[in-house]
Amino acid sequence: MTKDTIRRITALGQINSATNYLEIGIADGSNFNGVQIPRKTGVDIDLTRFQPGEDTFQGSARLYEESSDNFFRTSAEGIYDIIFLDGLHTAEQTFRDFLSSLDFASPSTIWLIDDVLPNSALSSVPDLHKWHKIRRLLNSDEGQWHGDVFRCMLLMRATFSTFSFATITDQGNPQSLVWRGKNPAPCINLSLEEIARFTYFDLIENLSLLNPVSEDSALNIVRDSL
Amino acid sequence: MHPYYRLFEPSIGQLSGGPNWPDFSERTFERHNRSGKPIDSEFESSSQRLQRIPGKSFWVGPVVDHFGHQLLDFSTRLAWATKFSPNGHYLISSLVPPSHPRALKPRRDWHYSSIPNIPLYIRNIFNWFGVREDRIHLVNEPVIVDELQVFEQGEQFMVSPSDSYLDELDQWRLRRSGIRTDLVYVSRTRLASPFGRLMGEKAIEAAFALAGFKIVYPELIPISLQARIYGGAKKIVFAEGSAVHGLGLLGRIEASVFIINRRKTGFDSSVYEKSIAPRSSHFATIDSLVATFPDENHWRSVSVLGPELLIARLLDLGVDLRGHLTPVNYWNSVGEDFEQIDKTLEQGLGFSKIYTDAGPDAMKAYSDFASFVRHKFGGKEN
Repeated sequence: MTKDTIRRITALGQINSATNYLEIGIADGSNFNGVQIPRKTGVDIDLTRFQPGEDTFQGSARLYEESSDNFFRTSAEGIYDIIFLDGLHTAEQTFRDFLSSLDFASPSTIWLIDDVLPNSALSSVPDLHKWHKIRRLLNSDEGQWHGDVFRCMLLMRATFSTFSFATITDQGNPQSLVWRGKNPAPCINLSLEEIARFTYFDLIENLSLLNPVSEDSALNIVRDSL
Repeated sequence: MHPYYRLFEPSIGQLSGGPNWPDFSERTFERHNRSGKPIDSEFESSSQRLQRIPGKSFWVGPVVDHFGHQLLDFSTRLAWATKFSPNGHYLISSLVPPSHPRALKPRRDWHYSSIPNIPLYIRNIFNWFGVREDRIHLVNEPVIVDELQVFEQGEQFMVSPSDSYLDELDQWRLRRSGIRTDLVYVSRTRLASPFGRLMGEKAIEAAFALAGFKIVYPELIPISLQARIYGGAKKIVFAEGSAVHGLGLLGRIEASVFIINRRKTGFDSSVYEKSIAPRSSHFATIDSLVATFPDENHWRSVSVLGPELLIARLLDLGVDLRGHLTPVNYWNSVGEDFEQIDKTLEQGLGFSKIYTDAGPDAMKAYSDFASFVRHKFGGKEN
């Protein structure tokens, strides 16, 4: 998964000549350390598992151990060309991170958002503690918690008429791209209430709402429309 | 419990604020100590109706935006508190703003209105000891606490940490995975200001990198990561500065710790020895300075060292920079730093008030210093 994300970020960075990268939710740093962009900023509320890469010791990576809300409020600075959102896997937090990051974006900034397509109903439970509990009760070995980030994507698609969206569904973990492209598609017609009630099964039945495409197609679309 | 009305004002006691002890003169052990003696002064209680904090609270100390003092002076009760009484409120006091009616000539901008506004590294110190932000209570108006527990300072300014305190810190360190780095150089080159520097440090830093050292830029990474890096090192060399006190989160470490001195006057470097020698397998300071331009605020002085002196002193300590640090690249780097200082001075920013007040004389003094360094050392060492 990490190598897929790094490959995608690398390709996106080539499209918009990225020099400044932001990753929300860097965890152990395996993705963050693999990204080759001159200046990088990593944020996580808990860096206990983080292992620094070479760029940490070269002074090109800047790290913050705090919530993303606090980071955007007090620490973020400048313009980020690529923003990878992989923080708390809830619709509310991801939406807040996206909104906050708009203050630190340019017209050519590209967002990559993780965990947008749960692999099961259990995986889409928005509460992490509940997900753990149900997993135990079901004796499930399912290892991935995606939460309801998909609702954030639906909310963004229903709200931002000037942004373009695509979701990569092949070559690894599904992830969504957001950018200010030419000729963005019209907003989807879902109310806030409908989005709040949207379930994993609704999503599977209406996957087109995430604009699913192959990785190659997604990169081409971004390249052509940015 | 009060905010601070004064912090680091030497003329009339150094601190005033925090717990309002009913038997102040007898509470010498619990009050804020330095060198084994309390350094705070008594203050009047408040007559206003006060907010009450229910349950158990722990006194941590004032909150100051000074990395070294926050760690060495004001964070050393935390480990005890979290060990013996993990649940409760952790109280820190802000300095009142200068406009406060009870402010006693506060000179520093250390007033904070809320926890998210205090410097991140201070919140990260609490995080290291497992204290969530919602358990920290910032005192910026007098409050009454139902029950206050005050643990002893684990170490003090100019008093070494106790063995039991180091034992406790060891436990906290062992809860985190180490980062195997072996050789570490802790740089000051990423400081925003050109003042308070070892001039030519970029060349020194580059030499350490060539010698296989990992370079740590404390301004760029959280203190928890700094501590984990130090905890996994065998040799750590610091460019002297408050980042050294990042070791204060750790108990005993395997590493030898060496500090390249930066200040000649106005500062007693034995503060490092008291704090760091008991933690490290070998401790030494390295004196290789050949010229210093002092500042009223000693931490803003700029210093020049002799590269060959530095190489020789480091070699005695088993660190070989020969072939990596040459007089030519060192003095070139010093020249670049002079240019940066010149640019800063041209913008009207610079040394402390004493020099600003002195006007042209100050500029001449600095200019003489720069000329002295360039002519005496530029290209060759004394």
